[in-house]
Amino acid sequence: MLHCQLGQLMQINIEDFDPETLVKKLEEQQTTITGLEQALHICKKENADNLASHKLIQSHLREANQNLVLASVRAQTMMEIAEQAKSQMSHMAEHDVLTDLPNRLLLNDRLKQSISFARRYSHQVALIFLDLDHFKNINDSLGHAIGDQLLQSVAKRLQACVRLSDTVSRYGGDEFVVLLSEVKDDQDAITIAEKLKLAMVPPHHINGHMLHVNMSIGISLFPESSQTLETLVRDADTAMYQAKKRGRNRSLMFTPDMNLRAVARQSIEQALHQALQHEEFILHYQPKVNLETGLITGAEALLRWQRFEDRLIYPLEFVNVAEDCGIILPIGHWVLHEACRQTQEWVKGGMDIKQIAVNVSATEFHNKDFVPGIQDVLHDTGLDPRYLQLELTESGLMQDIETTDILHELKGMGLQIAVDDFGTGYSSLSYLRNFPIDTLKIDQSFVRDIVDGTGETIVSAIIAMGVSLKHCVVAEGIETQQQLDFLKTANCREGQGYFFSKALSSQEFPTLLN
Amino acid sequence: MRQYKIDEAIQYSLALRIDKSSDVRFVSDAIVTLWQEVVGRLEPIIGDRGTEVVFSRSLYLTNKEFPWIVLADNTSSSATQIQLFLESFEGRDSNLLSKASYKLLSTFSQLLASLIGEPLTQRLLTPVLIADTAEN
Repeated sequence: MLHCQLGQLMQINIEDFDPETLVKKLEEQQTTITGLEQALHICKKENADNLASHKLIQSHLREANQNLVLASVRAQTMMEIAEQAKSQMSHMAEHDVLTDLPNRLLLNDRLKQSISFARRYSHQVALIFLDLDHFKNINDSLGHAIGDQLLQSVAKRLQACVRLSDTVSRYGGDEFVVLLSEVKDDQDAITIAEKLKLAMVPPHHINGHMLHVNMSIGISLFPESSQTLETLVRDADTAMYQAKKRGRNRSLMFTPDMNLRAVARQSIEQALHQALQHEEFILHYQPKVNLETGLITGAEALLRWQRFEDRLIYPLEFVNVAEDCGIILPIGHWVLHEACRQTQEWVKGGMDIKQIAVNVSATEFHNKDFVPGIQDVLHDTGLDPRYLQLELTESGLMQDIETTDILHELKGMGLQIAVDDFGTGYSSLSYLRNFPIDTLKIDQSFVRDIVDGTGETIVSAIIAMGVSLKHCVVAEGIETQQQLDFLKTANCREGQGYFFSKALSSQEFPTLLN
Repeated sequence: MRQYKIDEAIQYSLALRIDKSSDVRFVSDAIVTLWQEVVGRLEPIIGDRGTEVVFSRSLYLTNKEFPWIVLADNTSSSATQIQLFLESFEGRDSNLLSKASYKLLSTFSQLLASLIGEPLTQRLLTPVLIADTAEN
């Protein structure tokens, strides 16, 4: 060992240096240090009384010692750096880079350990799944840097709510999981879940933004409701999903009936994939009518699912699942393509249809392939873009700071833009001014209220605003003569609803038009 | 004369040199003097670079316990390093300075002992430290 050799060497009293003694001692110790060998060599050759030789040996010794010390300290430093790197890598493998919280791997490890202890000592383990409500909106509108800082702030608050023996983990995206390693009963877990929810109430101050976030929370208990690690995780996730479905910003304890709903959802998801493959989707067309002349000005294409022979399934029954599992994108593309193909066929056949309106979900609109997809459809079907109107909801328009650019791009292609269900979403006047919108569609809930005299004021106001902003105003859901009369008086240009016609199949619609 | 263990000697030496002083300047001067004496003993044996690297490593290890100690970069001389070490003293409590100084010297002697062996370390350092106690 380096220090032993050096230590042995140093047993010689350097201040009372005597070359002969040195030679003798070094030979006895059979040292292998290069510097010492040099010294030894010199000692043997030179006259022992020669002062120059004495100093030279001293200098060689010092240099040898110095090099040994340097090498030893550097070796120590290198070893420490290597150990630090190893420890850092080990930490990184088990922690989330953004929040430094335990990741899924470490959570699973601790979960296994907690379940094992719970089995041995007969206590319960609670798993709490948390998901930030509408986090995507923050990421989309303020950017990922702000979103990341928000996640860090959320992580800190969650950690502050639990015991050291509990684990707060980032499960991915905006999902967090809290493992309570020992709880007495479900009430214990519910209390902590409420504490976590309350911790989110004060706004997060990030880069000058005051951000409010809520959480949807799902709780599962081992062994009360879930008997294995896998089911514990799955059940907490299922409960969280139910919390979201029931209006978000709430916590729900898992119950077995939730699984039935999850299974039903899974079954719909599979059926939707099959529906696309087996061409079970069809489009119906509801005419839009000029209220003054009574002439049909166009149609809105509406999706129907022909899953059973005797009845059609309306989008309301499956669109949420389609959104959640992402199949909304291929379905949306199919709708767009089919509507354009059919319209082109009608136009080529000499039918006087002026416009086809297609509903576009927020997910589709904000997908990066949306605009190229439309270009492909128009190219593929040969439909003149001026025939195509895209209907977007207010909330869909408000989700992205790039909305204005996308809308201008679509307008540049020659398409028309309509705001669907107007009055039920954000209803911000600034977007009416900034977005290149052609049409406002008054939501049918307002039109319905015309019957009892309560809705007239709002409808009149929307029409007046639309007219003054030079937008075409279309009333949805017209069902009675009374509603039609009022809308005509209020200068509403177009309308649609059962009063004129329900949505018709592609075979029936041309008959109505002709 | 009584045989002192190194840690004991360091404690005695610091107690005598600093003498519970709360004057940062006084403490700084005492540390510099002590350090110069240590360097004077070691340089003929392990060279100036050897002494510097042991001191530098000792400072780094001491910084882990006293993070307010400012560290110089690896290429700095021991004079610069001790200067920065002393500058870190500004505004600190005298008790804390005494603890940090003890920790530095203790770490230094342990590191040296791990390199050249405890007997030699004792033989080299004790005379510097014990000189004070002998005088008293």
